[in-house]
Amino acid sequence: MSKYVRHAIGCGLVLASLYCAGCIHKISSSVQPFSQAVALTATNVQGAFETVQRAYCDARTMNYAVSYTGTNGFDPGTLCQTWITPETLAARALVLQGLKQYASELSSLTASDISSVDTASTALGKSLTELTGTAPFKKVAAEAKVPDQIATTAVDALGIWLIQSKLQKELPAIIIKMDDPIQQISQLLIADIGTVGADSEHPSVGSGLRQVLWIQYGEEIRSWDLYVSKNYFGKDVSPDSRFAAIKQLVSLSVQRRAADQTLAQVAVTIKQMAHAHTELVKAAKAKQPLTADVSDLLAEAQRLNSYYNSLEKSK
Amino acid sequence: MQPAPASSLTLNEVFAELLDDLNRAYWAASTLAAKDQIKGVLEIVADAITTIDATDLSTKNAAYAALGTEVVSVNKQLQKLQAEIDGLISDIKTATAVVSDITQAVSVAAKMFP
Repeated sequence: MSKYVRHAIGCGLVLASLYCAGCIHKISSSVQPFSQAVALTATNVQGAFETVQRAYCDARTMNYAVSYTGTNGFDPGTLCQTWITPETLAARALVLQGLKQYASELSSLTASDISSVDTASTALGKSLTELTGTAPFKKVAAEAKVPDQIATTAVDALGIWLIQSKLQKELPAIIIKMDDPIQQISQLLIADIGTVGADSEHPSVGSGLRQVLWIQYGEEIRSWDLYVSKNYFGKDVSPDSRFAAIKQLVSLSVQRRAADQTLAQVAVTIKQMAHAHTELVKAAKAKQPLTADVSDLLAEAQRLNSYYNSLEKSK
Repeated sequence: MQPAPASSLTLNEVFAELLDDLNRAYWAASTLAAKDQIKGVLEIVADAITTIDATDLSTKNAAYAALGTEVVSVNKQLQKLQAEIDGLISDIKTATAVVSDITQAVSVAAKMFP
């Protein structure tokens, strides 16, 4: 091979790598804000679940305390598990953590060429692939009416992705390949949240966690109402005490609405996250930066935070 | 009693509609005894919805059979309430809605669990 040909090939390789570096640069300008927005989404969705659970648990505890006779009780350890069990809450948390780690690794890949993943990511990936065989995960999928195989395949794909080593130059292909699992996981989480209140005459008609919470809060409201009706009227109770008890009844109703709105916002935020990933895929294909959809996701995630903070204050 | 018109609603939906109308009946009840009675029925309807949600209705397995047994038992209590509702609340519109919901729930359940 002549030195001219070798020189031409060398120049070609340098140009190709510069072009590729340019592509990665364009993608990284989209991936980093996407990663931050997904991290905030996952954190706030988890925060929303915990806040709603705490608020509902407080309502249950109050009724448990006032209706307790010494013989009608049940194990208080199960008191706060009627809406969501610790096992299924942990399953959801693990999936959210997986999404967060996925976005974080994409961001790391734009900064440096990773050839092997860290221990924490591998452990998380392994936990996710193990999760899909567990009863709590199957319960979440079944109650969301999402076929077990679709839910399992999507979460397994996320887990395997976290375990595998990746190269920076594969970034666009990696994002494109993960779109289906991300969309399916998002659909699972949205179906899990469910709906309620579409028919104002029959607000309980719906599905998922929103329906369960709406119905169960209704029981707490009626229990408190009966307690107040039986103990605060026709008895020697001060007007101030009676006022406080009735105020509590109204407060429970406000709490139910706030808890439901928090869950509704969880679904909106996850939907926006799925949309932002679709746009990230388009950006990766077109090698164009992505800004508007990530800003929308950030706005929804921040709104979610304000919803559950307001629920916390309504207690 | 008139037969219930064919319903396109699911079991979850008919019970959820009943739950909302029973809730209205609870708040319309004029005595504590009536409230107590309606609340008791509301609790079993709410439990039934939870079981329906947790059951795979496309598979006729043991859980489906257990749901059938629960629904039959719930329906007996609903029919008892249906006969008594006029004496428990004076709100005619709500009482009528509860009676109609119960007829509908029993009809949908009968198709699923013949």
